[in-house]
Amino acid sequence: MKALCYIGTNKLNVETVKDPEIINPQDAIIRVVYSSVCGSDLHYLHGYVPAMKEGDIIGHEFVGEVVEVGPGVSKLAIGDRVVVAPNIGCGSCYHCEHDEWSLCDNSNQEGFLEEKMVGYPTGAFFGCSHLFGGYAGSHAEYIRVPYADHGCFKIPEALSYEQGLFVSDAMPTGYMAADMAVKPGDIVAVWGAGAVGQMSALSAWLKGASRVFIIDKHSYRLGLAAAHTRSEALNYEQTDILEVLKEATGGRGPDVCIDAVGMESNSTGFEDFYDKAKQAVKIQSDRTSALRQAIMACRKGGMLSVIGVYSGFADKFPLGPLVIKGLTLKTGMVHAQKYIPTLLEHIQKGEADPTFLKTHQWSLEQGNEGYKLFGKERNSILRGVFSPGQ
Amino acid sequence: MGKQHLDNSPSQKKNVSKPERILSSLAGGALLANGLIGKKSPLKILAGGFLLYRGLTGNCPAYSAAAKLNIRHPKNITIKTSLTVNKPIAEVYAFWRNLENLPLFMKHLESVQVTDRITSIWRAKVPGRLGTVEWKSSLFLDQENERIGWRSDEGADIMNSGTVHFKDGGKFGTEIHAIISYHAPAGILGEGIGRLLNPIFEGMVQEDIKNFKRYIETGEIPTIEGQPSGSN
Repeated sequence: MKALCYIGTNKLNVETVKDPEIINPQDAIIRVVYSSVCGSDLHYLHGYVPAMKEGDIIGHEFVGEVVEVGPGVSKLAIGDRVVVAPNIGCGSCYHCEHDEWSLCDNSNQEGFLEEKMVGYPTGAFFGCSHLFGGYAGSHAEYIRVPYADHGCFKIPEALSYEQGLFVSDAMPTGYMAADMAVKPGDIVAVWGAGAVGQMSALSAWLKGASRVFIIDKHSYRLGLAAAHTRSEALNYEQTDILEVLKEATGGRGPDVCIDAVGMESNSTGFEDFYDKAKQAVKIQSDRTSALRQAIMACRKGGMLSVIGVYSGFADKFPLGPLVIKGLTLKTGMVHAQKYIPTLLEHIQKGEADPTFLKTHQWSLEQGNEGYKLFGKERNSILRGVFSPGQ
Repeated sequence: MGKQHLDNSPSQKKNVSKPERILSSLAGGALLANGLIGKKSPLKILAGGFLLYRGLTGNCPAYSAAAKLNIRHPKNITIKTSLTVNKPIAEVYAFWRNLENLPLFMKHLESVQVTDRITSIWRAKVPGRLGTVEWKSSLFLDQENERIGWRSDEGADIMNSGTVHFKDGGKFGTEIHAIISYHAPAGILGEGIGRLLNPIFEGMVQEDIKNFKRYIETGEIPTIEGQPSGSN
């Protein structure tokens, strides 16, 4: 089959590789129909996350058709149309049983690598480096899904593959950011108008927010957010964010601030230069300018929800303001399995529709240029989607 | 998790000259390779490893011993590891107590054959497809739902012992506290070889215990061996 493989920093190749096979009893093989790029792929491609190996197939947000199931799979049949969680959960450990799927004890079969970095290994993800298990990703014609009964969800007949695609990762990630923090009536501000930020804004409404702001510098993305998520778009290059939010909330600040940016955050002026320089020479792994601003903007006693991807250490983190203002910090990698069924229901009822996130479609062969566009031309793209079978 | 050395590490003092170290490394490497290919020779492998060790470190335990600088008792390496398993204690104990289950999660064990209530025959795969090693082992401790302890019989090729202590982990299930000891083959030669193998051995034991948890919780051991990759 054809697969989009990591070759080195900023270099991908379409390779012909062998088809995946059932290895363990609970595996299923999925024919990939759509597989989306994700901002977190850029962290790997840009060389900020160690433990990528040459030849690794990337991609983790996908939908497809079940073509083979192992003897331990009971809930799926050949021909089922499924959306698949990007994180791999065994379904049997303490964390999976308590809906903390990305903290799975068992799926990260190379957990000893991550253990050295974070103390205890967390769950595996498809196509996200050997820190997270080294599982082959979804930018390929076929993919092996371990613990398939827990990771694959049937797409209701009324919904298309396109409507199901972002229920894999972008939507549950955004929804989790809101679910961890938003209470009915809250005023919510979201940093980052990428796919996850857009879904955070949309989900804030689903959780009962009374007003939602979204902050970015790309007018294209802010325009999409205003059109599709009913949020008030703020451009941080043109507006004093702290002032605007203060005024909009009667001088209190938002009840909930969501960081949907992560470790490759941008800001303006000297702060931006300083952070990028330190990251370039590897003195810090993570840039946190969006998070800094979110901490400053948040009302006293408010909630801070961090869903953007961070990998290691950050500098100039405003711990003082966080503590002095008594903020509650909620974090996590997505527990997709917890949220996918609820989200499919919301879409079926017409209460949310994530399909606007897809702005480009490519063949696997367009992988290199696609990721270049996605990484550099953020003002003209939201999500590019591969259709490997075509 | 961590390792505990039951006695002090032998001196790292360099007592081998540079030319001799180079020779020792070359000879050791060659002997090791020779022992690993064709007709397998455990002696060549052991001797090769020993020579390579003294070549690489500049420390010859045999010299030290001869100079009466560093005489030690035979060395034990003990690996302690703890994990919590999301299963009731009776199930966890029973699964381990049936020693024939051990190869399901101990990667290097080929089989365990229980011969009676106390004794069993263990067969291990030797890395590099050198064949199998077989030894007898006896239970010396068996308290239902609490502790299991085993020890290889006197004169076994692989001298090891282990105890597993099962404790109620409350809502998290059952805590496993395992202590696995490995006795280097008797004599100084063995000590040198043992030091080379210890880190490998430690990683192996910790993976085995993790695999116990993975197997009893999910019924399988996760792997990416055999999956497609662009580098194959």
